[in-house]
Amino acid sequence: MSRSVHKSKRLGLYEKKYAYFYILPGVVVLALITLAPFIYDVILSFTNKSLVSAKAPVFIGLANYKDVVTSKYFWIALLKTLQYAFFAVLIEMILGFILALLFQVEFRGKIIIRSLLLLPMVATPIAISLLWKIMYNADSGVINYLLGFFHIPGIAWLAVEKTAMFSVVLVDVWQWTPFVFIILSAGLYSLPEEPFEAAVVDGASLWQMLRYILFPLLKPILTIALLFRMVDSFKAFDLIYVLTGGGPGVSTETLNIHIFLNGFKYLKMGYAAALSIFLIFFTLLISNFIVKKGGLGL
Amino acid sequence: MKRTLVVISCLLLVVTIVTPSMGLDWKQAEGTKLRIMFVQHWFTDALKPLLPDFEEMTGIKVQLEVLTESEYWNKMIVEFNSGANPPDAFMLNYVTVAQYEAGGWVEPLGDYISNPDLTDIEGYDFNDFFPAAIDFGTFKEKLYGLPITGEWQILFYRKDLYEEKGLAVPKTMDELYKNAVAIHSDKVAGIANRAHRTSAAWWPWAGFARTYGGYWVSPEGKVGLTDPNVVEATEMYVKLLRDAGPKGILNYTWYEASQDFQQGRAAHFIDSSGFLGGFEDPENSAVAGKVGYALMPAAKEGSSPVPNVNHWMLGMGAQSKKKEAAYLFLQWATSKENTITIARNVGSGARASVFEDAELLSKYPAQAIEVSLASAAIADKLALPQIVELGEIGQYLAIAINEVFADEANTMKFLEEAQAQTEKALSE
Repeated sequence: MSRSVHKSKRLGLYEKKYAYFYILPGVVVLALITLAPFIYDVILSFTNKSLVSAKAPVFIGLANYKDVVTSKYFWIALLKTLQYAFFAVLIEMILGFILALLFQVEFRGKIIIRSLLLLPMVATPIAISLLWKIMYNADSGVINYLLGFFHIPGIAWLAVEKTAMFSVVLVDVWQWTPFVFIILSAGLYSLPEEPFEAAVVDGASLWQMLRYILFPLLKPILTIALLFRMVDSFKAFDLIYVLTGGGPGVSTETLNIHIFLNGFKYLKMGYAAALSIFLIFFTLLISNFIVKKGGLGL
Repeated sequence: MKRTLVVISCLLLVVTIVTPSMGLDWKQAEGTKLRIMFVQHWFTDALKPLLPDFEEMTGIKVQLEVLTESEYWNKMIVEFNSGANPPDAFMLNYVTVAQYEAGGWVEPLGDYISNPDLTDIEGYDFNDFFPAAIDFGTFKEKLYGLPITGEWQILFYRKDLYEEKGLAVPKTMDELYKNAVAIHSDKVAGIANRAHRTSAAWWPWAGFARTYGGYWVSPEGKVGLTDPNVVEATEMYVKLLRDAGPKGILNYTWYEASQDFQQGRAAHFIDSSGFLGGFEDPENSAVAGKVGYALMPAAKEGSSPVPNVNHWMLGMGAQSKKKEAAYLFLQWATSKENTITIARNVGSGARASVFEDAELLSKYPAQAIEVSLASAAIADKLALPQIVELGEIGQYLAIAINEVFADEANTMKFLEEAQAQTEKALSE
């Protein structure tokens, strides 16, 4: 052990009772930037604060919460959030996993292709959203242009209710599959080789190896990737806002967009705060479920 | 000695009487720095090159921030609520006058305008403004916004395509519909109008509602979305888009719709007369010289349309610590000279002298000027309710328009939904 460690031990600085002092600065900062706004949010949700009223907000108890639960648009937004999260995450997990498996094999140009695959994840989300919006343009976008070569008539991707959600999910998948790919790659890399070698010797098929060895061993990593992506997709905002603004109609108005519109367009901050509490509660519910089922031992 | 004294005092007296009054001291706020926020708009484009003149004349430094319209409204709300250094002067529209007044963020201008130390009363010529334009910026009997645009809802059409197809200028909405459908093709859409749910689609729509004899929200506060006249107006507004609109029409804000017309990709556009400047600009417009102008079509044979009206305005912050400097800026930006200079680029303005300016009249087609003024005479500002909740009820309306577009059979259901939501928003 180094001399400074010896000295600290002699001075008793490793004592358990000092532990709280050591973590205090970090905890204070964390509390300020996460707890304080959260507490303000909860307080706001019990008031009728409007962004254009000069009057001080009035405490109105659970009225906002009642309005949320009886609002048709809230339930629609919840449904849209579930749709978005479910489809985006499902496709990302599958594609990410396939890519991670493929990259276990050596092939020429692997490093270049890997770098290209990672680009969507590191590019600025707003830039991505704007570029995809241009690509999706019904008259002059590159996607319809390419479809034209196959004699498929151009589709108004973002302007038609049926295709709007799909179009937005597609961009999310394009952007975040690399994230799943990286996490699962790291997971695969860390797996021991012996069980697989033994399985090959025993004559197991690819599917049996995947099902009985790979997935159980990879479960914690899969859970982490799933958790991150799930929670992130509930929070998705910039993509949807730029591409469709929540439209057409309310077909892409997820809960996050709904909260933003209520707070900053309809100026009903108290109501928006109540909506956000619902989103937090809902996110906690789902993430707890994932953590428990994923057996992360947390 | 006594005589010299008398002569000198007489001379002094004469000098003080005869010396012209200095008038407005433009340099009285020299050295101040102003924070100004504008919307990305033709007015902003026209005013920017003139700013150095203002800075030279007054010694006031201007920091101008420009944002696209929906971002601008979002940002303004945040600025006023967080209050750290809110803008000293900014653009206002009809509804934000009401909203900002409710928030106590906007300064009444009456006292500044009548104060000879701050206003060059003769040169500014307040009475030159159209009374309707001044009324537009007045809320609860106080003037909050000085008008910078004069915009009336008119019909733009492609007269070259009309000639080609042998079409006549439509007098009714049904005739317009037939013309739009006749021209509609893959290359040129029949018509382009605002439809995006966060765009101000309610502006042109409200003109339709009034033309068919209904109100979005009547002056007495009654919501009219399920009123048969309004339902008919909505059906026509959507029908035009569905049967003669470009493919991605539900994503169109006024930026996209006016762009499409300007680039020759749409044959009709029912929107603000303020766009005519851009359409007639040979450098940027593909249709300069091919644009026809007409009054908005009427609901039926023999009746008269009721176009909507808009005046963008400039206002100043009640929280500003530089009110005199901000007012000087407002006065300069809305002065007779600048209004006419800018109007020459645009084809319209909020002062009567604009429409008497020889240069402007020679630059733009007589038909355009004629139609703008004719529309101004019959326009109705009550097409829009001047209420704080307009942003919210505007969303419900835009959602309904989007939904009617996708599912025509359930038009009544969507409008009833919007009606219920709107009534709820207004009752709170």
